[in-house]
Formats: sequence, structure tokens, C-alpha cells
Amino acid sequence: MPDRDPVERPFALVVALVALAAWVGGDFFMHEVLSEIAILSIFAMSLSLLVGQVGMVSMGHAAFFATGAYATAALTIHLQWQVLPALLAATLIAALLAALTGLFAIRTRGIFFIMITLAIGQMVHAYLFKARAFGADDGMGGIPRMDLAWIGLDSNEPEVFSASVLIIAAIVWFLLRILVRSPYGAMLLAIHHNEHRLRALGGFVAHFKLLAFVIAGTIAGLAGSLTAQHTAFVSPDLGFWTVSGEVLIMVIVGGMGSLTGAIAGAAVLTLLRHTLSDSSFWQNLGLDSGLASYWQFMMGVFFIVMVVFATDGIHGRLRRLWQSIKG
Amino acid sequence: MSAVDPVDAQAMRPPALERAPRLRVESIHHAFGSLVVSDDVSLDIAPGECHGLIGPNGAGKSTLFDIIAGEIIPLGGGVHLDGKEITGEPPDRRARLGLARSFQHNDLFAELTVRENLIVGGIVAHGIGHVAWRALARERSVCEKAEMLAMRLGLEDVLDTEVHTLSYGTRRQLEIALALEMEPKVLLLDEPTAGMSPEETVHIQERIADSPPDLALLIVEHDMDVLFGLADRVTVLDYGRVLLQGDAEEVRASDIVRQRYLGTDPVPTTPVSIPS
Amino acid sequence: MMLLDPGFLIIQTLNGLQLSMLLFLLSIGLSVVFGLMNFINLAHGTLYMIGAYLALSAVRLFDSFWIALILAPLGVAMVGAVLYALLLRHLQSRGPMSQVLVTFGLIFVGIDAVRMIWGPLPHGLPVPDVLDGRMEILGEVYPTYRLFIIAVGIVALIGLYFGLERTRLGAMVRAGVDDRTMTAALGINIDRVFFLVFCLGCWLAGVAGVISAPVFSVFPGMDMSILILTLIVVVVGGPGSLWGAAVGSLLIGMVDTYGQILAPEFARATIYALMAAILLLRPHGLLPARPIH
Repeated sequence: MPDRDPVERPFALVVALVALAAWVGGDFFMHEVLSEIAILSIFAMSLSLLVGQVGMVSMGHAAFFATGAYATAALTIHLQWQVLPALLAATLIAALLAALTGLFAIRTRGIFFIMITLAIGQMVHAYLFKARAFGADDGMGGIPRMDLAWIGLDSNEPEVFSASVLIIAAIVWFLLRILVRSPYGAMLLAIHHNEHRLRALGGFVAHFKLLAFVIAGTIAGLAGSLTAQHTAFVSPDLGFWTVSGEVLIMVIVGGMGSLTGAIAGAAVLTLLRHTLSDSSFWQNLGLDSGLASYWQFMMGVFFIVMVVFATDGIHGRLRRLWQSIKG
Repeated sequence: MSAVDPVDAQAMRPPALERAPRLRVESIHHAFGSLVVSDDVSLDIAPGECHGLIGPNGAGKSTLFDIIAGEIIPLGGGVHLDGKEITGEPPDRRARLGLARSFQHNDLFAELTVRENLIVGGIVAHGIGHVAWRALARERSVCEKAEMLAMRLGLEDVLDTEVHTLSYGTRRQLEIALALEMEPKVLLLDEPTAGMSPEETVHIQERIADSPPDLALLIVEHDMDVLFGLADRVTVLDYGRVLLQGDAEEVRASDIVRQRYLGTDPVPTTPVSIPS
Repeated sequence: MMLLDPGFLIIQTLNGLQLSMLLFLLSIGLSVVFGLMNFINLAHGTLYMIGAYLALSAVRLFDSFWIALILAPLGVAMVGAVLYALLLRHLQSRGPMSQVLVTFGLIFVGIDAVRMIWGPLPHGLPVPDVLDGRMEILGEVYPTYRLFIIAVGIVALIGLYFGLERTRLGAMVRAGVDDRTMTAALGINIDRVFFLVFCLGCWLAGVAGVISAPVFSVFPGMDMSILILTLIVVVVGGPGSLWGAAVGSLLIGMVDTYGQILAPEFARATIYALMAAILLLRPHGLLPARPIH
């Protein structure tokens, strides 16, 4: 809609500068974390489109993430494909799965949409957990990274890989931003606010929702393919429903309806997890280093606090700050 | 026409009816369980005609509206738009074929601004909802049309105000403007002046009277002055059945309507026949 | 073929029945709360796990399974009451997403909390002496304790049926599920009814936790797999409906048990597909509590 959001662009600029600074000044470990954050950002942005823009709260989004990852693994290992074509094919496979499942899911609303997407996600997880062709519960390892030799780079170097995924994340941000600001984006927002009225006006509500579901699934598949390359390993855990829940929390923490917020949310949650599960962090605080093994407890409390008290997330806070400065 | 009712037979047909009807509702039958809410209801609306629908609460007016708009699929009978049968079509398809409606309870995009509401309408009206690669700001015609519409409604001062903060009457106006923005062939108005001040009522009346000349209008309204001021023809519903149907003036003059709706005693004139 | 062997069929059907009854105990509370307030509590499985752990402590303290069976569910109901008063009460007016995410956070808190208190290793609970035998049923030998689980489920079903049909609270619950606004207009304190039902649901989850402890091992995360099955039962059976929960439990319990044997690779996936199909064909479940217009 016509520039509803004065904060998004400066916010994105700040996030981009922070990412750049972290990459330039980062060590081996920082580059690994940056790669992880960039990949999760892509994943979170895809869900942000669905949840923030259209109001479709999916608890099964990890299904497409896992599909992208497994397709990349299977194509490169079983069929010895090159990574780049495998990445494209994996994204396409995730898109197909999203289209197929979306056809059913978009017919439901509210809590029933949550439940049916949960079922879809668990269906994929349950299949991968048992499928011998894909290593069942052991998963698959030894997935190569994209070949960047043609521009004289080695993607196995952490700084090269992290730069690549950061650039891909930036491209995804730009593309989604164009989409959100387009007439189609306005239709998605209209569905969020009053689906019934848009239908009464004659909007193609079902088409718009399905398309959004497929776009989100496709981008989640892309993120999945990248994570398979990053860790060189896939396991059914990638598709477990708690992964969908955590990505949803990233979207909430960042601020619903903001793409940059999704990136910030991914960064906050990833850094928080690394910090809380690091025993030296607790030692430095003068506490028992054993607390590190209870990081899930602290993350859980953090989730609850964020959902209860900070519903509009980082982006919402920034926006309110902006409004109070303005007047 | 399927059935010629007695009132109508005696009257001179208004010239509009000589054209093919825009909207034809034919022998609609519908029931919720054992409760019959529409019993053999038929009506035709010609281009340019304003057709009023009155009846006590529970007479089945809202159900008939929902059936025409496609929210409810009737158990029997048919709905035709410009000679095309649309009885089983979903609401959004009907809307694209040229059937617009306003809702009895304001049904707007409440957290969006007036401008955004009108832009959403404009996007649907222009059929550019699938355009995902071009910025909305570059769709000049949609944005400008939204501003023009707002101007015509006298809403230019609240253009960027969120709709839920506006007064009831203003929201009501926007409700009708949104329906008109679709440039429909048929417009269904469900109690357009309900809950409005006399001043706002006049405003709405003007807006409706101002609608395109060949628009077919079906209007439910409790304010009889407004209704008879606008309607060319009127149907009286009672317990889901057509009690009376004919020219506005005749219906207004009929005993039943005078007694029940206009609050005056029946003038002893020639008895009006009631179709069984 | 295995399926033609009557002994095999009897044993597997009893196994399925046992899972069904556990699922029933878990799903009925969740289902009625869902039907009454559209409230979805993902931490319901966590309460089940807490029930099992409390039973573990009670058995250590009093050396009696039966005292554990009385105390542990009460403890779980109290945990539920505290959670409700401090947290969940404030989420009722929020959308389903907030409820799902807050109770999602509670799952992680719950798993680490039991890890802190009882340690990360799995525990076992001995079967009580009285039930520590085998019985012959239809010519097959079957552990008595597992029959006990089935019996508890059946008793709970009968008890809940009479509770819903014959008591004042039951009538209020039925009225509330049917038409919440109307019931509130009649002067019934729907929030208190909801609170009582919520606590009763927690208590039943606790019972399920205690009685399942001697059969399955007790470990942090034991709530995860049963939670999803429970949610499926609620959706499949129809939120807010006693018979829905009963039929849903039976269906899911049997399909899961037989599926694991006949098509292990697809068993769970089949259950999720079944749920998706039912959601699409009958969005309000198989036996919905509310009349559908």
C-alpha cells in the first residue's frame, strides 16, 4: 500500500550495514554464524510473506525447507548433479509440493489452517524419518556446495559461502519487497484484513492465497537447499514441526509484516541460541557453566515473553519510536 | 415473465421493464431445516430501475440478498444476471460478472485507510490483482481514481485515516462507494441508511440517486421515506413469500403497506388483491 | 499372512485399544477446552509428561503406585491451574497464533524443567504388584496392566458421559460449547466453567501420564510424539465433542498400531493424510459438538 511504512527502508539499511560490518570484521566462526543467519533469514522472510502479509499462520512451513534440503541432497549425491542445477530443481520441487498441499490448505482458515499445515509438515517429516532411500532417521551427509570456481572463488571457504548466502538473502528481500508493494501485495493485505469483503468485491481470493503459499514454499525450499549445502548434511529434524514454530517466532520477534523484521528476528534468535548454549557465556557471568545445557528453557521463556508482551516485534517498536519522534 | 401478479397487471408497465431485465430472480425456494425463509420469490429488475424490498424482520429479506449475492445457494429456483444463469456461482464470480453489494453491517477493510480501501476496490475493478512485479504507486489510474472517488464522497480530509476511526455514517458512505467503484450492472444495497443521522441519510440518498443511469438497484430499507423516494417498484415480503409486488406508488397506496409500514390507517378504497 | 492369524489380531487390537484409551484421556480435555473457548493448548502433552514424572517421585516417596495415581494427577491439575491463572487466561482474547506460540514456548520450558529436576536419563516405573501378571483373553495371553489401562479409559468415558449429561457443570459445558454468547447471557460464568474444565483436562492428562509410565519409559520429550497424535484426535473427532474424542481416539489408536506393523514406512504419514482429508471433507470433525448450518 502507498508507503505505509516509513521505517522499513532505513531499518533494512541498518541491517545491511551491520551484516556487512560483521562479514568484513568477522572470523571463521562469525562467517559460519552469518551463513546460518542469512539462510534462516530467507526462510523467515518466506514465512513473513505468508503470516505478515496474508495472515496465513502456517505451522508446517518447515516441510518446504526440508524438501528443498533433501532434494538438493538426493540430486547431488544419488544422481551426481551439479549443485546449481540441483538448487534450482530443489526449489522447483518445493514449489510443486507447496502447490499440491496449498490446494488443500487454503480452504481452511484460522486454527484449522494452523492444524492442517501442521499435519502437512508432519506428513513430510514422518515420511523422511522412515524413507530408506533418504537415509531414514540418520539423514544424508556429504552434500557439496555450489561451485563458484568460474568466478575464481571456493565456496567451501566460510567467508565466500557466507557472502554468497548474504547476497541471495538480499536478492530475496528485494524481490519480496517488490511483491509486497505491488497491486498483488495490496490484494494479499486486503485478504489479511477482510477476506470476505475482498471476495464480495470480486477478488480472486483463492488464487491469490494459493500463489502466496507457493511463493513462500518456493523460497523456503531455496533456504533448505542452502542449508543442506552449508552443513553438508540433512536430517528429518529439518522438517519437524518445532522448526516451523521457531521460524514463526522469528517472524513475531522481528515484527509481523516486515521483511527486514524477519531478518532481524532470525539474527536475534540464532545469536541468542548460540549465546545461551555456550558454557563460557555463563562462566563469564560468574554462573554455573552447566546452565548452558538448559538453553531451551531460556529460549522457551523468551518465546513466551515475546509473544505476550512484544506482539509487534522489533519493527513495531521502531515504528512507534519513529511516530513519537515525528509528533 | 414467469408470473404476472395482479397489481402489476392492472398497472401501466414502467418503460424500463420493456427492456430485458438485468437481474431476474425466479421462484426462489429456500429453508433452514424446517423453517422456510424463501417461498417462491420472483422479481425482475430492469436496467435503470430501483427496486425496493420491504417486509418485517424475519421476512426473508437478508436471505434473499444472500441468495442473490451467492453467499447462500438456494434449494430451488434460479438467479439470472443479464440473461445468464448464476444460481450456483460463488460470490466473487458474480461480483466479476457485475453484481455488487453493500453490507448491512459495515464490512470494510477497517484497519486500512480510506485511500487504501478505495485502492483495493480499484485494483479489483481494473483486474490487476495478479500484477506482482510493478509497484502499486505506478498504477496511476487506480490511485488517481481512488482520490477522485474520495473527493466526490467528501472524504478528501480523511483520505489517510484508518477506516475504523471514522464515524458510522462516513463508513456507510464508503461501504456504498466501494460497491459502486466496481462499476456494477446490478447493485444490492442492504439498509444503506440504517443508523444514520437525517443529514447523512440525505447524503446517501443523493449518492444512490446519483448512480449510473442504467444501473439496476435492489434496496432493502427500513426508512419508508427513503425507500419510496428512491424505488420505482417495490416487493413486499412476509414469511418468505411475496405479499405484494408492483409500482412504488401502488404499493404505497395499498392497505397493507399503509397499515404496517407507514403507520396510517387504511383509507377505505378499493381492496387490493393479495396474490396467494 | 499375519492378518489372518486370530491371535495376532487380538493382541494388536488390544494394543491399539490401549493407545486409543491413552489418547482419549489426553484428547478429551483438550477437545472440550477447544470447543468451549476455541483455545488450543500445545503444552497439553507437557502436562502428561509432568504427570508421569510426579508419579515417579510419588512412588519413590510412598512406595505405592496407587498413592501416585491419586497424587500425581492432582499435582498436574494444580500446575495447570497456575499456568492458567498466570499466563493462559490472558491469551483468550488473542488470536490462535498467540495461543499456539505461547504454549509452544511452554513445551521447551517443560522439557528442560523436568530435565533439571529429574535428570536427562529415561526412568522406568514398576507395574503395581496386583496388576503384574498376565491374563488369558479370547485364548491369548495379555499383560494384566495393559488391560487395566484400557479399563481406565472406559471408566473415564462412562464417567465423563454421565458427568456431561447429568451434572450442572456438564449442562453448562454443553450449553457453552453450543452457544457461548447465549450461555453467558443466561448468567452463567463461562470463564469459571472454562477454568474448571481446563483443570479437569489437566487432571486427566495427569492420569494418562501416570498410567502410561509403567509401560513406556519416562523421559524428557516423551510429550512430543503423543502431543501431535492428541491434536489429530481432537481435529478428527470434532472439537468439543465427547463422542468425537472417543471415536477419534479409537480411529487414530487403531490406525497407528496397525499401520506401524503393516506399512511402517508410511504409517505416521498416513495418519496425517487422514487428518488432512477429514479436515477438508468435514471441517468440524467426524462428530462435531455444534450443529452445522
